[in-house]
Order: sequence, then C-alpha cells, then structure tokens
Amino acid sequence: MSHKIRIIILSILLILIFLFFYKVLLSEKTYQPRSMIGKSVPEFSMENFKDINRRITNQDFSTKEIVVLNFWASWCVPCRIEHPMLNELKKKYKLFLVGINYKDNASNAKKFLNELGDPFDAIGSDSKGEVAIHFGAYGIPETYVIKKNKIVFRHIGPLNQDVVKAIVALK
Amino acid sequence: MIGTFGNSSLIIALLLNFYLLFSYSLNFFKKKNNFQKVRYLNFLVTVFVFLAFILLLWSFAISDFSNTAVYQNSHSQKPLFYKISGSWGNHEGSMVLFILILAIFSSLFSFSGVRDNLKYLTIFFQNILILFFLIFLIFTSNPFDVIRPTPAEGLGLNPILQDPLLSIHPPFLYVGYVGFSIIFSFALAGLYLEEFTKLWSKQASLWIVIAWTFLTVGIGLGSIWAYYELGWGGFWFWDPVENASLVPWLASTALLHSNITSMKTEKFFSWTALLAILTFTTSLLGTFLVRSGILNSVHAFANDPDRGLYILAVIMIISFFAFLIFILKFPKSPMPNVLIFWSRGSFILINNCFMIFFLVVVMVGTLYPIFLDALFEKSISVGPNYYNALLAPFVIVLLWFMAHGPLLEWYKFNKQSLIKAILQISFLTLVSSIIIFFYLKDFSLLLFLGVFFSIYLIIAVIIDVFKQKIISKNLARNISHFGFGILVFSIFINAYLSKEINVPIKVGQTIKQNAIEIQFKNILKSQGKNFEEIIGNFLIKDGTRAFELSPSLRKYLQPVQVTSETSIKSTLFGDYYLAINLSEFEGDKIMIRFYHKPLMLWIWISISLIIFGGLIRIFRKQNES
Amino acid sequence: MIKKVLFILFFSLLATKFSFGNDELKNKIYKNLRCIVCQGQNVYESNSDFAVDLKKLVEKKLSNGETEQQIYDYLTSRYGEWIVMTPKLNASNAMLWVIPVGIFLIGLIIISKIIRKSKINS
Repeated sequence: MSHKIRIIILSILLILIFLFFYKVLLSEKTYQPRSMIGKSVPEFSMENFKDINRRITNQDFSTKEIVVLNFWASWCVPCRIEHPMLNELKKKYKLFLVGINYKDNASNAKKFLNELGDPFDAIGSDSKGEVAIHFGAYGIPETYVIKKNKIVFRHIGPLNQDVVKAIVALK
Repeated sequence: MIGTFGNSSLIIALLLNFYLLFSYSLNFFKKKNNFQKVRYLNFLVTVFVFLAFILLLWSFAISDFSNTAVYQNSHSQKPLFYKISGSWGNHEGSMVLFILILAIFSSLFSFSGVRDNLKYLTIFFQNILILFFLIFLIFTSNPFDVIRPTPAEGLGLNPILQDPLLSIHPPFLYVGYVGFSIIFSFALAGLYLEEFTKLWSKQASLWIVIAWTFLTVGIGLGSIWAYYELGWGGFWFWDPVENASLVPWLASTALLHSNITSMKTEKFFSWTALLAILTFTTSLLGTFLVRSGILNSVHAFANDPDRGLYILAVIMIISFFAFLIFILKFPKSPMPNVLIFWSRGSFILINNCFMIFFLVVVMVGTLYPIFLDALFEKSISVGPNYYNALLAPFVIVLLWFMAHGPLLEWYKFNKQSLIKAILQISFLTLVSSIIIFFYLKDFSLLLFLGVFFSIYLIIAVIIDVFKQKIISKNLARNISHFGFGILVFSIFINAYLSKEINVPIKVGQTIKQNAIEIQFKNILKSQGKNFEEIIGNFLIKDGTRAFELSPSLRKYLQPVQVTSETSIKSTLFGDYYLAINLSEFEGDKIMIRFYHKPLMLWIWISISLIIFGGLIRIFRKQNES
Repeated sequence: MIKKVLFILFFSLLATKFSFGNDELKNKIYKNLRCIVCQGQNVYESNSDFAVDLKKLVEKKLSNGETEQQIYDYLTSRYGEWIVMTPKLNASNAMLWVIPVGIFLIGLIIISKIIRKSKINS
C-alpha cells in the first residue's frame, strides 16, 4: 500500500469518528422512550376511585375513539402545575380523560381534586404503582393518548401548551 | 485580585509557549542546534502554569467567591483539605492540573540523557499539546472567571466527593494519563528523526513505567473509594468513567511489554510506536468522553457541548498528525520481525494481543450503546455481566502465557526445561487447588479454572524467583506478576463466594442467617463540622468471632444531601461490611445491607504489589543512569 | 487448537449454572435491571420510587412462580431493551462480541505469520 492510500484511509476514519461523536454531542439529551408507542393498551384492572364497589378496567373505554390517560398524585408538585392543562383538555376540547391516581392517599387526592377541579371521566387507584409499570411509565406526571385502543402518544413530565396542542391535533 | 494575577499568568504562559514554538521553528529551519532559549522558555512556561495553579488553590483555600469556579464548587464551612482538593474536583481546575502536568513532564524531560535534537523536538511536540490545551482553558473553561457582585456564600461540593481518597486520586490518575503525553511526543520525535531504535526504547522505558505506575495508583485509589463510599460492596462497576481510565491502562500495559521486546530483540518498533501513540490518544478520548457528558454515568462532570466539540476537534487534529508521521516515517526494525513460538518475545506479543482484546471489549462495551442510540435510535444497556462473561475466560488463558513467558528465553528454546516446568508447576498448582477447594466446599468450573490458573502463575513466579542467581534480578517484573496472580485469584474468590444479607431490623433485634448473627444495639447522634450524623451500633458474630460495626447516615448541610456511610471490618480472610439503606424505612425498622466479602484485603494488597513492582523498576533504572 | 480451547471455555461458562436461593435470585435480578429514572444506577442500588416499585413487582412475580427470563421479557416489552443491564444476543448487538473476538483472532493470525516466517528464515 502506498502512503497516499494509507493517508486517505486514515483521514476517512478520523472524519467518520468525528462525525459520529459530533452527532452524539448535538443530539437531544432528554430521553423520550419509544417502546410503548404503537402498542395496544395493556390490560389492567384496578380499584375505582369514584365508586369503591366497581373496578375499572381497560374494557371500560375500549369503545372510545380517543382517550387521554394521565398518571397523577396529590403529593406530586408538577401535577399541580399541569392540572389546569388537564382541565382545559376536558372543558375546551371535550376529550375523554382517565386519571390514574398513583400511590396516593384517597382523602388527600379528593382534597386535591376539590381544590383544583376534577377533569377526569374516570379515575383508578394504582396504590402499588403496578399499573404504572404496566404502562412502562417513568414516574409522574405522565400522559398517554390512546386512539382506537392503541397508544399513539406519550409525554413524560408535566403538560405544557405545546403538548396540549399536540394532543388536540391527534383528534 | 487573585483572578487578575491568575489570568495574567495563564496568558503569559501562552505567550511564552508561542515564543517557544516560534523560536524552535526558526532554529529548525535554519538547521541550528542552539536550544538554550527553548530550554529556558520551557521552564518559564512551567513556572507560569504552576503560578496559575497555586493562585487557583489559594482562591479555593480562602474561599474567594468572586471566582466562578470557587463559587460553584466550594463553601466556607468546608474543611480546608476539601477546599483545596475541590480545586481539581471540577472541570476548570482539573484542566489547569492537566496542563501543569504536561508542562512539568516537558521540563523533567529536558533533564533526560536524550540527544539534543531528539530531546528538543520532543519538547516542541509537547509544547504543541500545551498550546492546544492552554487555548482550550483560557477561552472555553477559564478558572479565573469573575462573578459580580461577589456572592456571600458558595454552592458547596457534592458530599460524596468529600473524601480523602477521592481527593487525592485525580492527581494520580492525571499524572498517569498526561504522563503518557511525553512518551507520545518522544515517539513522534523519534519517528520524525528516524531514531526510533533500541536506544529510544531504553530511554522511553523509564517514562512509560512512571506514567503507568501513577495510573495504576490512581485506578487503585478510585476503586478503594468506590468500595467503601458507594456502599454496594463492589469495587469495580464497569461505569463508563472507570472504563475511560482502564482503556489507557490496558494500552500502556501492552506498550510497557512491547517496548521491552523492542529493546531486547530490536524488533517490532512499528508496533511499539503505534502503542505509544494509541496510549495517549485513548487517554485523550477518555477525557473527552468524561467531559462532554455523552456518557450516562454516576460521575457527573459539568457538561457543555462546546467544550466537548473543542476537545473532540483537538483529539482529531492531534491523532491525524500523529498517525501521519507514523505512516510517513514508518519505522523499520534492524532485525527481521520474526520470532520462534516458544520464546519470550512471542509470548509478550500474545500478551499484547490479549491486552488489545481487553481494550476493545471495554471500548466497544462503552461506546456501542451510544453508537446504536445515535444512529439507530435503539437503547441498550451493557452492564457488568457482559464484561465479566467475555473477559473471564480470556484472563484465564492469559495467566498461562504470563506464567511461561518469563521462563522462556529470547532466542533459544529448550524443550526439556519447558516440559519440566509445566509438569512441576501443574503438580504444585493441582495440589494447592485441591486443598483450597477442600476448604471452600463450593465448586463451579469457571471458579476452578480461575483459581487454578492464578495459582499456576503465582507458583511459576515463585519458581522463577528461586531460579535467579540474585533475588533482586527481575524483581520488578516478578513482584508485579506475583501481584497480578493474587489479584485474579482474589477477584475470582470474591466474585463467587461473597454473601449478602438484606433485612429490615429494629433496635434490640437480633437476626441470624447461617453462621452470621447481627444484633442492632443502639442509635447515637453526633455532629460533624459540616454534617449531622446518626450512627447505628451493631454487634456482628461469625462463629467465634464477635465485633462491632457502626454504619451511619449523614446529613450534609451545604448542599443539603443525605449519604450512607459504610462500616467495614477487614480481616485477612475477608471483609465484613455493613451499610444502612437511605430510604425504605418500615415502621421502626431500618433496612440494612450486610456483606461478607472474602479476600477483599488481598485485592488491595495485590494492587499494591503491582505498584511496588513499578516503583522498583523506576528507582532501579535511576540508579543505573 | 486455541479456537477449540476457547470454544470449550465459552460453553463451560454458559453451562455453569448456579442454584440460587430466593433472596440471591431476587438480588441478582435487581442488579441486572437499570433504574431508568436514575443516572447510571441499577435497581438494587437505587432508592428512588421507581426502583422501589420495581423491586416489589419483581418480588410478586417471583412468588407467582414466574422465571427470571419471563420477568425480563415483561419489563423489556414495557421499557425496551435498555432496562436489562445484560445485552441480549441478537443481530443488532452481535457487534459487541464480533468486534473484540474478531480483533483478537486477527492478532493471533498476525502472530502466527510472524512465527511461520521465522521457520522459513531458519
């Protein structure tokens, strides 16, 4: 091999390494998981927050065209911040909202809803955090949009106006 | 005020560095051999960088919060020792240390017995490195940036980093990492002047061992810290930052050995040169990976994509020119690059092959997840199981080659003596292994092979020592290899036979599992200089042995953070290790983690032996010259 | 020869199975799961809400008689391959083993050439 070819190979190799690390450096650091998108709603059955005599399951709203499912708790500070956005989704855009009350105390949760409003059409209690894991959730707050029984969108962390727009656009 | 002085000394150092490069180039093109000026300028650069470093230490020591780096990383209520060590615990300060070590090695090298032309070309290359990093320091991470108005109090240092071992381990790691720069510069100079010969290998060997020894000390101290501070009973987590320090260690271990082959046989100079370049470029790559924050790691350093981009560009430029010189001035060995299989040289090459394999495993394991994520949006985790399963069988085979390499000659092969050695060592090893497994009462194939071959190496070294006419001959190698044998032995026993107990326990309660009894006696409160502490006193019984362990929880006030402090009882046969879980309280019970870690002390002893071998080599060499 | 030895070593490694007590198996699984909301920690080492929930779930699944692999499969379907700390042996991960072993073999070939040349020379 002549020197020229070796130098060309060296240059190409270094440029590739540079481009690779350059892309990594500039890529988004906030991790947005892709694993649950496109999958059917996982089956679940949990205590009904509003009516202790009945349970809540994924069958209850399988006929709905579009469902917004939100994990929340009264002890979670960002949930307080995003709550007005949930109210807006209900009142302004008339979406069907399911709340999942995550590892919470029932009376605190009721107080929370009395104070900030109750946008949810149904609420289930996930007292052990198992349903959250079943949905592949990272923590709360976290929001899923279900269309025809398929998860089409998810957002980790508190909702903001951009996310609200994105959810409404899915209608 | 201090900031102005600090800034000025950095800028003066940069100007002197420019002048040095200019002055050398002038000399070079006029083909003059008057290097006095370069020599003095080189010292002056070192002096001014040193001055800047001292001024930074001073700012930290007196808690001068008008300095951004001090404000962000220190606090007036911190003990003085941690104030000072905090100066290199952050990005800006550690870069000053980085440049200081580059400069000190450059100055030290000017005292070496290397021929003037070669010596000053080395110093010229070294000053190009200093130039790149000084510019980086002054323009992207200036340690003397000023905040106005001056804050009354600093933000503090992460309490987990307030630890004597962790405070002193970065300087050792850095002397190691950066120490390879002088070998890198020396190799490029040797290549360029076509003096990459036996003499080069001889003169380089001391510098290689110095940097290698420091790096080993740095890694060793880091793992001792991880062992008692992180509280999971482990000493090596295959964390990306640990991996970043392991890669240059593997490359330099290969270099150390191939350089000996080149020196003794006058062969494989191109390979030695390549390793010299590779060792420093992997050190730089490690720095880049840690600083740019592209790795998910427990060690969180300040992340800044601009800085990352600059270091990346510098690494690429440095590597390009280094490999360019390597290609254009490809060193030819005076002797043909051939070996007989049963010779020490070929065994050293096989050792190199293993080292490169380990290096690639660590690199691929660290970088492949980033690669998949960046290019295919797929996230995977590469954890300890991957490394352990892939490395363990290869380490076992390497042990055999390590045992026999030093027993072979460079050129001659005596079949009878090899067979005799194999039989002798195998017999002694088998007897010792049977005795050991009789006591362990535990068996698995991989554990057996690990134990067998590490004892094989230990016995081979002992036989080798007795064969020497004078004990001190090859003592450095024998001690290091002996240490490595004990290290692998202890790691295998430790990995397979560690026991752990995780239980909730309340005051007054006693828990029994197998031979171990844990009694929770009482809780005490105490007050440290910058933390409050709750100490749990436990009585541990293991058979006839009884002793107390007192793990604690500490609440640091600045910044507010709770840490769990372990309590460890070390014995020759194993450590008893107790820690309290930070959360997971169940009523009046607390969760404790108890570990029995066999031969833990021997892991530290064996690393010390490896380091001791390096030290013997350094001081013996100095006596000779 | 060496290839054969390596082959045997690899498979003896895979064949070495341990009998884990329930606690040991539990801890082994915890240590092999990434706490995805933490920086570089596994579930065993983390005290975050997420890790605590996951520990409880693993415990429940084990007492329901599920195997280690079933638990990994379940969690992988929820959180992706990332959550299991040991990479799966599949096509896209193959490079993790192919690159190092490949380079090792290239090294051995080069050394064997150096040695063969010496036979011709002598």
